This record gives sequence, C-alpha cells and structure tokens, in this order.
Amino acid sequence: MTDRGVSTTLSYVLTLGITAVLISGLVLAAGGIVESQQRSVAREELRVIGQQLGARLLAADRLARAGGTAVRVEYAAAGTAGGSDYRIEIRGGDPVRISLNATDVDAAVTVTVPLRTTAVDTSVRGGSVEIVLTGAGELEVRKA
Amino acid sequence: MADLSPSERSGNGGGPDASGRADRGQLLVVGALVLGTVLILLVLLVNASIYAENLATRNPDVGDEEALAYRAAVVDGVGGVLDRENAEDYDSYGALTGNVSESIRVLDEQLLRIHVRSGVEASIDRSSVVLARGRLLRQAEARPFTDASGTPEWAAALNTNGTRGFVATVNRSSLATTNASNIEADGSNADGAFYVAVSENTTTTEWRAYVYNDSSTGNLSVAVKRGGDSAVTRVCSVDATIATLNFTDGRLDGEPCAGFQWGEGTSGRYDVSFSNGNSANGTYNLTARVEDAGSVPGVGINDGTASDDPGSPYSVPAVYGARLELGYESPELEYETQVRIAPGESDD
Repeated sequence: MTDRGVSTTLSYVLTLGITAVLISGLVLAAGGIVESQQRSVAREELRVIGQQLGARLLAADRLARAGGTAVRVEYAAAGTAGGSDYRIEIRGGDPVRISLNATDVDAAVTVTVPLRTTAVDTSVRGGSVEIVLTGAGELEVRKA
Repeated sequence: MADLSPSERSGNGGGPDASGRADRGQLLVVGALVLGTVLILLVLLVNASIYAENLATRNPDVGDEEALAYRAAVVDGVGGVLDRENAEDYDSYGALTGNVSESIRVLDEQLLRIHVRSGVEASIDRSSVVLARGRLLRQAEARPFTDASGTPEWAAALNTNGTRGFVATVNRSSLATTNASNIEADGSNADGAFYVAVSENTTTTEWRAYVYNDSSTGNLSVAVKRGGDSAVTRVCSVDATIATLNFTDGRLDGEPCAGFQWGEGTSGRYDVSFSNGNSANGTYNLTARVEDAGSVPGVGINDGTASDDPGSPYSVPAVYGARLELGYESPELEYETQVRIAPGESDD
C-alpha cells in the first residue's frame, strides 16, 4: 500500500503537470493564431476602406475639374477595422497617399490615388467622412 | 462526459485515486472551454474577413457620372431652347426672353421629375439665369450677299465680342473664279472674290475668309488670311455646286477644316463685314452678341421679320447666350456648378 501511495502521488503530479503544459501550450498557440488573424483581417479591411475612399476622392476630383463650385462626396466607412479603431491620414502630392493605421492592432495600409486637384494634408479618425472642395479649390477629407 | 463527481470507488476506496481523476477531469474541461472560446473568436474574425472581402467587390459608384450627365443635359437642353426660340423671329427682345425663361423653367421641371425617381434632387437655380443680348442676322432666301439696298461692301455687326452660329449656304456658280495666289500676289484680290472680314476695333488687324471658285480645280474653295499676316492660304475645298460653310465652327460641308478658325489672330471687340457681296449668292444666319455697345447696324438691313421683305437680310432680337447655376444632390454627393451656354461659338 505504501508503494502504491508514492506512485499515486507521482503519477498524479506528472499527469497534472503534463496536462497543464499541454493545455497551456495549446491555448497560447491558439491565442497567437487569433492575434495574427486579427492583424490580417484588420489589414484587409483597412485596404478595402482605403481603396473605396480613393475611389470617392477620384469622383470628387472629376466633379471639381468639371467646373464644380461646390462639391461634397460622402463616405460612410466602417467605424472599426478588425475590431480596432483606426486613423486616416491624407498626404497631398503626386500621387496622393492615403495612410490608414489601426490603433489597437499592428496594421497599417497605404493607398495611392492619382488626383489632379490638390489634396489638403489631413488626419481624421476612422468612420464616416466627407470629401469637400474648399474655397481654395482643394479637396479636403473631413469627419462627417 | 467525464465523471467529475468524487464518488466512492469500490476496490480502491476512493481517496487519492478518485480525487486525482477528478482533478484531471477539471483541467481538461477548463482547457477545452478555453479552446472552444478561442475557436469561436477565430470564427468571428474569419467572418469579419469575409465581410471585408465582400465589401471590396461592391461597386463604389457614388453617382458622379450621373451628376456630370445632368450638367450635359442642361447645357444641351438650354442650347436647344436658345436656338429654337431665336429662330421664331420675335419682334421684341422682351417677348423673346420671356419665352426663353419659360422654356428653361419647363426643361428644369422635366429634368427634376426624371431625377427625383432615383432619389436625386437635380435643379437649375432659375434666379441665377442671366441671358446675354444678341441679334440674329438672316438672309432666308437665296440672293447675293449684299445688303438690302444692294451695296456689296457693308458691315454685318459692329463692335461685338461674340459671334456664333454663322452658317452660310453658297452657290458655286455665283462665286468669282480665282485662286489663292492671285489674291495673295498683291493683296488686291483683283478677281473680286467674296470675303468675310473680322476686323479689330482698335487696330487695323483683320482676319479674312475668301470664298471663291478655284480656277485650276473648279472646286468651291475657302482661303484664309490670318489677322496680322498678309499671306492668303487655301484651307479647304469641295467639289459641289452648293456648299454649306460654318464660319464660326470652321467647317465646309460638315467636314472640319484645319486652318479655318474664326477671327484667328485678332482679339478684343471687332466688326464683321462682307465685301464683294455680288460675288456670292445664297442664304445665311449669324448671331452676334450686342450686349454692352455691340450692334447689328439698322442701316442696310431690314430691322424686322421676314414678312417685311423676304428678299433681303433682316435682323431680329436674339439671345446670344445664357449663364446659369445648377445643383445636383443625392444621398452620397452634392455638386454645384456654373455653366455658360452659347451653342455654335468658335471655341466650342
């Protein structure tokens, strides 16, 4: 009986230990997969939002070049990307660069748009935005 | 499912063995629950990814093409209104503008109704419509290009800054026979070819378009002397007995003519005059802008409608052009612009 008592404790400890290690290993790996998936989903959504914003900037550009005195294009973008908030940054130039950076996950995307009207350098929080032709004849992205 | 309850096991008397199995069971269950939650999170993420990919396939059409199509419809529609109303030969400018405004109102309402069906508000700001005064000079029946009393040298428009829709139909048999080098040789135009001149008000710079029968080919030809140049160059010709010349659009019988550009080399206000009117026979229309001190002379032209004297040129009030603001608004976009409409102008 006393021999059995020792092996029982040992086997108990070993079983618990191995099970604990295996399960925590599985959970950590799964957690890692979830994180990387979240990053990739966020990047995908940011890319889609960036390109749709680019398409609307091009539409506003066409209207402005056709002699528009007042132009306003709305874009109801999703408020989050992959569950994370994000910021939209516009850098004027040739071509214009739209940078989208997620704040809670490590995901950032840049989209370029060949606009002919000048774009104002701005930075807005992700979500519904509107593109407006300013008095100076430039395109500005503002929070709607 | 694993038996989690500590129970009396026969033979071993329960105790450490039973509690060990129970502890192992709990750990496995907790681990399984955590993994289950993690898998559910993964599923949600994949779902979000699929949704994002679906968004990417949707057409990001905001309707800017429709907005520009509306603008084109307004420009074409109002241009058509101006041409139609001008052709009605009104007696007074007031009656003409009244009808033009009414027609623009009808056009506006029709376009508004069509667009409202798609949830879009598209309208002309009728309070912004400004009409530019003009005068339509017409010779409706074929006769020489002289004025009403038969004078071959006369002015069709004075001190104007806009001419549009100058279209003439001429008979080849009525034209002088010469060629461009004869006109050019000493600038004297000894064969007396008919020409239209655009002369700058403040200087002697003049653009001329000669219309004649070419002596070598027998074709109806047009030769141009640019303002500031002395050379006369033949720009186009056509083998036909009757041809239509569009002076302001630079076309002969509908074909564009390189080098035939109304008033090229001149600038500012100008006079339009006809010379050697006896050397051309046919009909014509010309709309000149008379806003701010331009005019179509009353002398030598019948100021009235065709019923007064159908056999000679007459002039009637006309609207030269219109300027207006229009707006297009849909749930996704707003677009406003100002347009100027003057169909048949040389820079159209």
